[in-house]
Amino acid sequence: MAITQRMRRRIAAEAVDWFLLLQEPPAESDRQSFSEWLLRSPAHVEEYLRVSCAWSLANVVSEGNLESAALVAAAKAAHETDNVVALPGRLARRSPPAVS
Amino acid sequence: MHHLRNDNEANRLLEGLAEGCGNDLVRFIASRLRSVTDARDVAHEAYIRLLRVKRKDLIRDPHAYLYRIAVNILYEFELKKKADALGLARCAECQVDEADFGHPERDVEVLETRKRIETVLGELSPRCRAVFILYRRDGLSYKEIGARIGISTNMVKKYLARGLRHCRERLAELR
Repeated sequence: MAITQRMRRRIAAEAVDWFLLLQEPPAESDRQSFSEWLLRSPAHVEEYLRVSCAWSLANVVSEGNLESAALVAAAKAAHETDNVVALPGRLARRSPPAVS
Repeated sequence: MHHLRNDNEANRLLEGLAEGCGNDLVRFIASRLRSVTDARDVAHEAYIRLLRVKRKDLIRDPHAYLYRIAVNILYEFELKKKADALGLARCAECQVDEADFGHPERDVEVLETRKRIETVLGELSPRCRAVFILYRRDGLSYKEIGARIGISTNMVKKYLARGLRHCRERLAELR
């Protein structure tokens, strides 16, 4: 089955959720669910590797407006509305997908 | 199955895995994936090898298995590529000695990558950017970040996920 762009984005979002959940020492049940998620499709493995790589790359040196204090000041001044745009169907889900 | 040529190096990298998220190993994978023809092939092969791992072992440390397998595959791809290149060079009788080249391209590439990452993070909203960098670079907890910026832990999580999704989309040219 061909992976559509929309499916790929959904998988990427799941991979991100898993990746962040596993940053904190994961519980046995999380490791199990994550393993099963990985084994469900090569596309899951691909996205997880890509997300891991993006995370690894996405670091910046602390200088100028990228210093912690400057970042915090900008964030506080931003008055952003708190409605982070979520992908469709992801609003209701707080944790990575349950094993089906 | 081929293994890492330098097993000490591999073991050192894997020790890092046990302690954290295996950032060294992932950095290695990220640098190699970009030079590989098709990252999808690597992922597909990794999937097949993951299926062969005993479920009980995999669950104990899925990260270690995934990254270790990916590293092995990348090494094999690289070895094959080198062998192919050597074969071609012999045919044409024009073997190129890699040692003759300095690596100015690599320096330029490093600078370009750094600029690109700054651009991509610059595209995030100020709160999203702050959350992402405070967590990723400064290693602050969700709670600490929330307290500094004045938002809930829940929102920290949402901004963090959004930031990483954006990085994934914009830093996707890994091949």
